[in-house]
Amino acid sequence: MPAAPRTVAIVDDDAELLKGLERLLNAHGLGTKAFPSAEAFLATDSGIGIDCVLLDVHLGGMSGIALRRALSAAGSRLPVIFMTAFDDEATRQQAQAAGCVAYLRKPFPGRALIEAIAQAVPNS
Amino acid sequence: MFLRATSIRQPARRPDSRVSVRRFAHAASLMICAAITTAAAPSAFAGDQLPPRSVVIIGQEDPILPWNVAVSTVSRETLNVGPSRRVITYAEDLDFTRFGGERYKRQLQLHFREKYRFVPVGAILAFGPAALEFVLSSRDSIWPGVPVVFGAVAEDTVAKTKLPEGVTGRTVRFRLEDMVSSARAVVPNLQQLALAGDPFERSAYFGNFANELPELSKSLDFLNLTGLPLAEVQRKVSQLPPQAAIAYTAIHVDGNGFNYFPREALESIAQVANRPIVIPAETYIGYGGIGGMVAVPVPIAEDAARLVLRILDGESPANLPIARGDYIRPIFDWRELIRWGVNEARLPEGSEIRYRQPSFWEQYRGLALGGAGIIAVQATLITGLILERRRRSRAESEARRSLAEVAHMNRRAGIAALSASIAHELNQPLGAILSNAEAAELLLDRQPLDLAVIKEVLADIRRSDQRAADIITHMRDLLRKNDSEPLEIDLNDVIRRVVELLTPEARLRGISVNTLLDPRRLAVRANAVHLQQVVLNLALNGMEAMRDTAGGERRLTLRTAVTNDAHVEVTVSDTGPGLAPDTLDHVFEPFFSTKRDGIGLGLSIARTIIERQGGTISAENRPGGGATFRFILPSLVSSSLPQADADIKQAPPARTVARAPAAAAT
Repeated sequence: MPAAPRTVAIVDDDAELLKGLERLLNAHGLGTKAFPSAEAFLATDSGIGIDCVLLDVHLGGMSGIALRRALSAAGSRLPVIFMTAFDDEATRQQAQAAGCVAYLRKPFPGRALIEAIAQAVPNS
Repeated sequence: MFLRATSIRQPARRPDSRVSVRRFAHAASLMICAAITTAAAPSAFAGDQLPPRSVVIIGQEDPILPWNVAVSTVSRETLNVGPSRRVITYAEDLDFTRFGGERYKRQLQLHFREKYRFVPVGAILAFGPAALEFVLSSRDSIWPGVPVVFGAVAEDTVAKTKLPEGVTGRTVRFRLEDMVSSARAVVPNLQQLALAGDPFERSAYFGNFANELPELSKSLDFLNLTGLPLAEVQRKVSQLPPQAAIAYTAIHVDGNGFNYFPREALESIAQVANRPIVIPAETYIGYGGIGGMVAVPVPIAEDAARLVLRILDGESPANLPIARGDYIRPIFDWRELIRWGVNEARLPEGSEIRYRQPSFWEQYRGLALGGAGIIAVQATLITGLILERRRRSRAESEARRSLAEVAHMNRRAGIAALSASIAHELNQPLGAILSNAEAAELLLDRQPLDLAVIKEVLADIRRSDQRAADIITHMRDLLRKNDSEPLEIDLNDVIRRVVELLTPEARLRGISVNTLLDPRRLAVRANAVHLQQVVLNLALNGMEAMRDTAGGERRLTLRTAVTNDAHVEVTVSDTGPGLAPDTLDHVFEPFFSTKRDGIGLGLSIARTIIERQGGTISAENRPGGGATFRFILPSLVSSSLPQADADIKQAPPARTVARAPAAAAT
């Protein structure tokens, strides 16, 4: 049974990267919803029609970590994949503490992203 | 005798007795003692008693004659030279050249006896033969037993005089022979010597000339004009033959009985004389005489006065023999030597030349040296100033260089602070590139190919790549030493560049960066890198200020605006704690820092750069909290001016107008 296409929400304040990731995931047959900020994600009816969140850690304004905590606090069970351009141990620990299925360092190959999504959404 | 002695003694002891009775008593006993000794001995000052330190100086002529002035002055001075007790001097000038005779002498004696009746006198100093003669004939009645010292008395006169005890002195020898030799020196092959002066038999000093004449006449023709009226003398001396000279002794009274100062008579003769005039006394030099072997009054007076001092100090005149002094010196007047064409080499050895007109160098040596000195000083000053200017210029260029060095270091420090975030920031475009490239690969596998989409993806890849390259370039720009000349740049571009480099760091720190740029192009003439450095420093400063902001909003706002027609401004505001009021004035000073790890150069460099670009920079606290840094730069008012220039260049009318008047003229 062909499952409905999984939809990945992408939150990143870098428009170019956002566009590239959308294209990549779309090319892999995944649906995408792009958000330029954590605030923008929260402003929509988040969680509806979304299977997974690909979340940048260092967003201008509300950070990815903060968004993750907010989602958890709101009882959301959305799996989160963190990605960051600024990789350091502190960021990694914060990300893991906040809860995530994967932690990706930009730039990452599409395969790593797809695997992480597959892990986050087992029946994708 | 007894009374005389006491009358002499008493005033001499007065200084000692004036203070106390005891001293007076002592003085009185001395007086008695002295009176006894005086009575026992023929000398007024026998025994242990020193003579009173007072001297009567007697001259034989008019006291204002230069010779007498010299003798009188020098002898008085000599008497009071050195540490010995002061000597009181009395001067008497007898004017024997104009007054004479036994009656006159008797009256003088009476006068002096009364005058000096109660005046103690330790010695008599007589200058000139007539003065000596008067003293010798009058001493017993006026100053009995008082020692006599003479000066300026001719050797012959002394030899012919029977001197009593207690008389000594120094003789001088005036010789016609000396005048002849002087005349021979100034007139080579001298044939004739005209003699002008008082008759020798009346002359105080030159009486012996008459004795010399017979012998000297054997080799020289003498024209004796002595005793003639002055006018006659003048007439004669104006008509002398070439190989002739004139010997002038002294005219006090001429053949017509007129009185003269000898020097005046000399001048009168010299005015008309056609031959040089040799003279016998130094005091005539400068009044028309050429000079010669002349008697010099100063040593005459000095020697005589020293003899007096020795007597006053207790030596017996008997132990001070009469001697001839060395008073005749060869002295000449340079102007007369020139006038008569006299070769200096012919003058006696050791001749002193007076009134020499100094050569330019001699005359203006001081001036020349002064001038040269001034020139040297000026040259030194100029050299110094040039060196100073070069030194300053070097120092300035060094300062510029060191400022450039410091500014460069500061930029590197700023970039270093941002480098980690910038390096990571590069991962954003790299990530975009990678995603797009992989997407493109997948799209190429699809059928049918959507080439439009693929094209779009490739364009995005190129854009991301460009962005990554720009970040590196901009960072490298700031890292490079950059002292290029100011160019016209857009202030908004400066802000954009800095924000691009700053944003990753701000994002890491959870700081939002707002840029509010004036939509117009804000043209300024500046070094872009330096302005970026200023903005970067202000922004880093603001970000640093928000480091400890717990909770609340962390926002860095960069704004550009046109303040007026001539200026544009940039403000960098933060939401930190603001500046302490007392630090507002100091934040731009070097090494001022409120940060624990700051070295306090960023804002100082910012100010230096802004001021160098002709702008101003200031700091203030925002009403709602936080600080605002503001710099204002002169704006380049639009680019329309070069255009206007171009229009003028294109317009040919100027030439046409210039030519028009010429055309009208033809």
